[in-house]
This record gives sequence, C-alpha cells and structure tokens, in this order.
Amino acid sequence: MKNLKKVIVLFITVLFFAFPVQSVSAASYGFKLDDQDGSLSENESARIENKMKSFSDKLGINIAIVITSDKGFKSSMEYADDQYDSIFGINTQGILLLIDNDTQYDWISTSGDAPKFTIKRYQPYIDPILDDISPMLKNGHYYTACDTFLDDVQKYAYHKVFSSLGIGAVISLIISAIAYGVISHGYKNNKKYSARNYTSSNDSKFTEKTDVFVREYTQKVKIESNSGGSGSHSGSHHSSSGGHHGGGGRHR
Amino acid sequence: MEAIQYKCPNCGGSLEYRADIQKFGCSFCLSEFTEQEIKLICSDNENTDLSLQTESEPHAGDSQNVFESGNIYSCSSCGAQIMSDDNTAATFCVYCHNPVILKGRLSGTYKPSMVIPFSVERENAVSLFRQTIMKKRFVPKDFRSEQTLEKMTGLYVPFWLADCRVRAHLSATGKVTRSWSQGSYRYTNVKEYQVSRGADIRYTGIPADGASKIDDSLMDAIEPYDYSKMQQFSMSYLSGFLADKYDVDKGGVFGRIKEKADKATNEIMDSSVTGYSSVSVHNRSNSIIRTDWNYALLPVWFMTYSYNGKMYEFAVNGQSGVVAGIPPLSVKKLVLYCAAVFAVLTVLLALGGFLLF
Repeated sequence: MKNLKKVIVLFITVLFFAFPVQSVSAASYGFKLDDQDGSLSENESARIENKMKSFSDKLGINIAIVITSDKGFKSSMEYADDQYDSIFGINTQGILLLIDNDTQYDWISTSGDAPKFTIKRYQPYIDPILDDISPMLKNGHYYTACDTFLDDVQKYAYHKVFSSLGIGAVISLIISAIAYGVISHGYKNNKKYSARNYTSSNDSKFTEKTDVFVREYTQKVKIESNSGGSGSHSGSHHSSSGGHHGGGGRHR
Repeated sequence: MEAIQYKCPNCGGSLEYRADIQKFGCSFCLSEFTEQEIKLICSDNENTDLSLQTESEPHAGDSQNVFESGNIYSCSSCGAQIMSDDNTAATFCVYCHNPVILKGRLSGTYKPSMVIPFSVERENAVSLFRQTIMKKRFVPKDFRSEQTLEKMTGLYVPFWLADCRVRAHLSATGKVTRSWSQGSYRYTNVKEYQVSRGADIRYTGIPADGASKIDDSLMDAIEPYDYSKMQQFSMSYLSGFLADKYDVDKGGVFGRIKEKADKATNEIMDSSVTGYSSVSVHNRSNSIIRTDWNYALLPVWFMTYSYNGKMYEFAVNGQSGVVAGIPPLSVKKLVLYCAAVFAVLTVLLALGGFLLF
C-alpha cells in the first residue's frame, strides 16, 4: 500500500512538471504585426492584432507576422529567425510567420525549449499549417491567411501533448493488460514436467535422418519508391544570432 | 484382516520411519534402527504376513456381503476400531494415535515392488511450503496469515511407473530462405528439402498416480523423483505415514502416460530438424510398441487450505522438496499493481514521445 501511494504521488508530480499549462512568470507575452508591404487594410490589421494579443496572452507565447518583399540577401529561414530574435529576444517562447512576397517562399519560425517546448510542440504541425495558408497566400487572400494562421496556432498548441498522452495511454493499457494476463495465468495451472527427462541419449537412437533436396526458386519483387516531400523544412537549427529555432517553409 | 503395528524391540513402543535420519525410530525410548535391522527383527512379522496372506485373501463376494462401505479393523494397541476407506493401506488409530498398517490392502496385485522413503521432514515441508506459496506476490494478505490450515500430512501415493518403448516418425518440408536487395528489386531465394526422421526412443519411469481421489496435475507438478533412491518394498517404511493402494489400474493411467510420452517424443523429433528458416510438418506418427510397468509408493506431503469457502490443495515432494499447488489470487492486489504500471508507463511513454518526435 505504501509503495502504491508513493507511485501515485510520483505520477502526479511528474505530470505537473512535465506539461506546464500556465506560466507563472511575470513577463507578458508579446505580439507584433509588421506589414511592410501594406498587404492588409487598416481594419484587417486591427483585427489581426486583436486576435494576436488575445491568443498570445492565452497561450503564453510570443506571436508575430511579418509581410515583406525585401529580405536583403538572407534566405526566408534566416530572415524569419533573425526577425524573431530581434523582436522578442533569443530563445524565448514564440512563433513567427514570414509572408515573403519577394521569392514567395513563406516560412514559419519557432523558438523556445524547456519548459514550454514551443519548438517541439509545433514541429509536427508546420506542414498542416502551411497546407492551410499556402493556397490562400497564393491567391492573395492575406487577411484570411493571417487569420487562419492564428487559429492554427491556437488549435495545435496542446495537440502534441494530448496525442502523446493518448498514444502513451493506449500502449500502456495494452502492456498492463498483457501483464495482468500473464500473472493471473500463473495462478491458474500447475506447471508440467516434461517427460523428456525420463529418457537419455543412451536409450534412444535415430533410425532415419534424411534431408533430401527437392527444388530451388527465386522470387523478385519491385520495391515501392518513396515520393518526394513537398516543401523543405528544417528540424531544429541555430540562427546567426545564436538562437535555437524550429519551423519550416513552402513555396506557394 | 490383520492390522500390523511395528513395535520397538527395546520398549514395545511404536516404530515410525523417520525421514530426517532415514532410519526407523521409537518415539518412547528414542532407539534407532536401520532397515536391515528392522528386516531381521520384523522378519517374523513378514513371514507371518505371507502365511496369513494366502489365508485371508479378500474375496469379492465376502466383502460385499459383510461391509457396505469402508472396512473396520482393530487397533492392536488400544483395541479401538479403525475406520478407513477401501484404499487406505496405512493410517493412524484415531484414539491412541499409533501408526497402523492394514496388511491385506497391500497384498497380491496390490503389493508395490518399490518404495521411495520420505527424506523431507514434516517441519521442512511446512517451511518449504511457506517459502514458496506464501511468498507469492499476489496472494491475499489474510491467506498468508491464515491460521486455520489443515495439518501437513505425509502420504505414500501409489504410482504406476511406465518404461515405454516408442517408435516415432516424422516427415516435413524444410525451407532455407535468403533475401537481398538489388537496385529497385527485392530477391528471395528458397531451397526446399524433404525431411524425414525416424527414432526408437526409450523412456524409463514415466509416473502417473493410481489414486483417483488425488489431483493428477498436482502430482505431475511435483515430479521428478530420483529413482536411484528406490528401495525394495517393505511395509515397515509406511509406519508413521498414511498410505493408499491404487484404485486406478495400468489401463486407467495409460492414457496419461501416452500423452506425456507423445509430447516428449514430439519435442525430441522436432528438435532433430535443424538448419532451416521454416519447417512445416506434414506427417507425424508415434506408437508405443511396448510398456513395462512398475508399481511403487512415492512420498508426498499434502496440505489443504480452506479459504473463503474454497479448498486449496498443495503438495510437497517428500524426496526432493518441490512444492506444487495454486494459491488464491487477490484480484484487487493485481489490478492495483497493473494500474500503477499503466500510470507510470503512460507518463514515461508520453514524455518520450513528446520529446523525441
């Protein structure tokens, strides 16, 4: 009984620290809309900024959208990472969408490791988010793309946590059910002693032991080739300013 | 029919076979006698047995007329009547607790050829039982501390020991498989072989208990016995223990013997087919071409436990100390344990999944 209590306490403590939901730090979370190209009207910008503010407070992360046609000589990834670092600082928790009207290679940059793991949280969902907004950007629907981006940021915030827990629970359930079956089986039947022990190699002999070759054949199967992925993304990497980033991008 | 009691030549007290010293001991004057000494002393008894045996050979008709169920003997120490069932060959007088041997029961076809005397003492058997069964993890707590256990009883169980000669044959197809990749193709090369095996296998001493009231699987679970320690049967070994004669004859146990022999034969035949990636057996035949039988009394300590209205039976091999029997399972304990495993595993797997993927 004592052992069981210890296990339960340990379990709750680990859960508590592993998946912090609300941050208790005093820092407020920032948001920024930098529309260098004027792709959004004043009204649209205001609505986007309102949404950004409310989500950034609610989720406890920085959120930014940068729309530009001039990245200097940087790639979309470099530009997006550097923009994030200069707006919010290095290795803070947050996400930035770069809408690149120059080369049309849009990029999402994430930042932040322990304890909130923003990079890890969003990494599996970068492609789904780009799936949503890339067509919109291609068609020039900037407002809808930004709005959808923010909705997706909110939608996928805890997705990975719940899906990890869910898969973990399913696997654990199977394993503990097997453990139950195996242990309770030991309380059902007496073990049997093999009669093989009542004979010795002196007493027995093989009267026939033949292995005759019959035939040989070879089969050939074509291997399925993998289709190439659309759009590149990087796993985690470091920006020029030294910040650790994740994310990915896609050509419209 | 005569009931025999072995008396100490020094003081007349009852003699019992002592498992710890492997000798016969008198509980009154503490004298000890080896088997040879007892044979000499009791040779009169045994000789008398033989002459009495022929005279008092039980006739089926007689017993049916006189006794309905059970037979009644008189204790030669206190004169009380001893109640026993049809199979009892050795027991204790209920009144004066002296060991009694019911001679006529183990005569004629019921006379065993061999016996393995007890070498595990009662206290030792109890402590082995406690160590093996009580210490199991999911046994209910109150079972472990249960005081209402029946006494540990030493019983010589009648066993049929079969020496079987088996002819076995096996034919199968064996495949040797090799796989490799080249370019955008996967190649699999298979070589097929026709496999034939034939064997002449001899088994010595496959045991099957000949007592219908004893659980067969419990007796199977306390195997094996070391037959090198078998002694010529002498009734004196039974003194101090219970003993039964068989009530299931060779024909009745042959089915179980065959099952054990077949299983072992299949294992032997299967393990002789090696070197293949896969084997499929298409014909298998085992036949027992000859069986020689021995009938022996083998020592077993029995313990019965009453728990929650159900009887739990345990046995300890009276020679090797192997313990068998199934204790009750505390479902509550097991469920809690599995729930804890579930909880811990979920957290670990979720953490791992979150951080690694």
